[in-house]
Amino acid sequence: MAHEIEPSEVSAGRRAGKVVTGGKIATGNRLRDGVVIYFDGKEWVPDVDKAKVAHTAEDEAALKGALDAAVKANHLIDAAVIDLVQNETKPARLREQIRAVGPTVRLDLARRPNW
Amino acid sequence: MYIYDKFDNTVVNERVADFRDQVRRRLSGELSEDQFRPLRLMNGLYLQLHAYMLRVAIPYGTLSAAQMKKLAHIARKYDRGYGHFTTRQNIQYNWIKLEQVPDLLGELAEVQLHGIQTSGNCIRNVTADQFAGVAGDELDDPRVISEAIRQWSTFHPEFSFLPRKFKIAVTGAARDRAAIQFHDIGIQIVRGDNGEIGYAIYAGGGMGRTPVVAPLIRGFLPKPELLSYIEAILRVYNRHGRRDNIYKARIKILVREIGAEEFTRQVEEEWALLRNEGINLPAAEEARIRKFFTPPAYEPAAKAAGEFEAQRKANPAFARWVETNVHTHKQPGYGIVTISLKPVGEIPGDATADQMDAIADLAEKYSLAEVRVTHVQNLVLPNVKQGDLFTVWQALGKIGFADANAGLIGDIIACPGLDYCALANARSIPVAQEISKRFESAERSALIGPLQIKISGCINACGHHHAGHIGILGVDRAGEELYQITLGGAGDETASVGQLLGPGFKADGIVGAVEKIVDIYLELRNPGEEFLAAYRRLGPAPFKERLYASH
Ligand code: SF4
Repeated sequence: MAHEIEPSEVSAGRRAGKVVTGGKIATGNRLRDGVVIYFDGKEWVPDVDKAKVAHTAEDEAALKGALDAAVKANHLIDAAVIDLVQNETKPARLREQIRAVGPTVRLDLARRPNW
Repeated sequence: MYIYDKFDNTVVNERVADFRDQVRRRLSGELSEDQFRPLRLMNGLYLQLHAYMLRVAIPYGTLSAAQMKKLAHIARKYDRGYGHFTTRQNIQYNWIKLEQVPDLLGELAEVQLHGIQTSGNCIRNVTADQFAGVAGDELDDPRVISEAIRQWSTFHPEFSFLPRKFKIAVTGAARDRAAIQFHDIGIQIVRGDNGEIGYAIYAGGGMGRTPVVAPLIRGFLPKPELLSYIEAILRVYNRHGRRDNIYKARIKILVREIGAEEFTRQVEEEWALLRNEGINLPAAEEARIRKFFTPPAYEPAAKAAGEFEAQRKANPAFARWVETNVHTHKQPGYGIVTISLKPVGEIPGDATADQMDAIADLAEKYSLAEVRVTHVQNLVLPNVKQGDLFTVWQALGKIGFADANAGLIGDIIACPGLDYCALANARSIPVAQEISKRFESAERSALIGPLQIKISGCINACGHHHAGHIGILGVDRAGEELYQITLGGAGDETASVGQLLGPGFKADGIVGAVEKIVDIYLELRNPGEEFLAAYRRLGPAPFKERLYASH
């Protein structure tokens, strides 16, 4: 079973949505409890606002390196480098915005104020 | 209800121990995620957007009060105080921590619950009419054969790695409350020419990317031969199902590709070889299972009938609730209560730990300790005396679940959508919330009458949108949520697939579009004509023309 979840039919997955010109950050879910985490340059933290933003190919390669290391160390699953909106720490895709904040229908459980 | 014997208990407890060891090995790095993923999925543990999600099987939607209490406890101790009842009559928890799952499963096993076969390409949790055993219109209790199917399909070695997942639904009544024709196999209990009980068998139905209403492949199957017949269906499917293409792997595609007639021929051929192989349920075992579903000792009717009438007269809101949410019980003097998990503006199917506890208490006191889960994401108290209905209604009011909207426009199915689900393209829940707020007025929704809205956040159709009188499908159009509308779907005995009406609507336009459709219906309907009937008479044209007129 190579797929996560119901390997059902089509998944929005993390395929690129619209053209984005902002920076990039590294994210995934923590293996032991599933919590959404981001790479802050040193460690993995739940707060998207602390994520280290890559603007150059070099920085992005460094993020990927950190991400691979965390996956290898069994700290992280479902890892990806994602796009941000220009000049913000706000992820470009709605899916990633919801991952960062929490369900939009349960803002009482929100991890940060919604954008 | 069915109580596990020592074999069932051993099977489940051993599985918990296995999984405990697997989790330990995953956390220590001994197992990679690729190795571990299929193991956790076998126990209903998915990774969703925010955390792990655990799906707990509720066989044919039947729960004891004690099991409901445990579900509340799990929500409180291992989750964030709530759970989500699904269209598979299951419950899902959204905030599960992997390191706690072995303990959680251990606690579930104490009340004979688990997440086995709620994922993967196996025979999934069997679903049934939520009114099983109490419906006034049923021929026989579908839980008996559902339980037999549960036992037969649990860890069935031949069917643990099917081309794709496989879902079976059973109804004991001609009125189909279990959407059997949208299942891989749908079983309807029927009477044969000589009055004997048997089964009508549908196969190859399904939702998803390719919605199909299952064709009837056998009008009457003698009762003792059910298991060998469905085994024959599974065999033909297992042999010829498309393993090469995930989009074509469900049985519906096989049946469609070779035709229902040829499929039936192959099944009958296979069955001829199988039927004497000892697969069928022995009569003694049937009787043993049936004993668990012996109707309880109902009290003689009508002691409180006068009072009940007076309560209805004095409380229009109660009377309205009785009208919509209490169904005819086979035993005079009793009612079947549908607890709407669709309060205006709330999340369809969600219940907090406190609400679950309160419902368990009500079940204990007023419903012979039983609760049911419906595929419409509601709960049911199957055995309430008429004289207790008023008290139950008041108690439900205290926990916010006394809305009189079962079967009406506010009784919306919504899958978790992009708020929780890793596969989603768009959010479902906020759309449901907005629609229910827009049609908040009880008078207005009573005027509109029976109308089923069903919403899915992607083409996988967990929200049954294909079967919605009004179906809504969320799609992703260049990063923006867009909602397509289908009309005329039905999941009952007149099953049909909804037809796409036209271009989708943006999030801020979808509720207005639904309202317009409802207004057009109100204007064009014949006196007393329900939405589905009106649509079937009128066709899509008047809706299309006027909905898109301004575009
Ligand atoms: S229909 Fe799609 S979005 Fe909704 S729960 Fe199913 S997979 Fe998730």
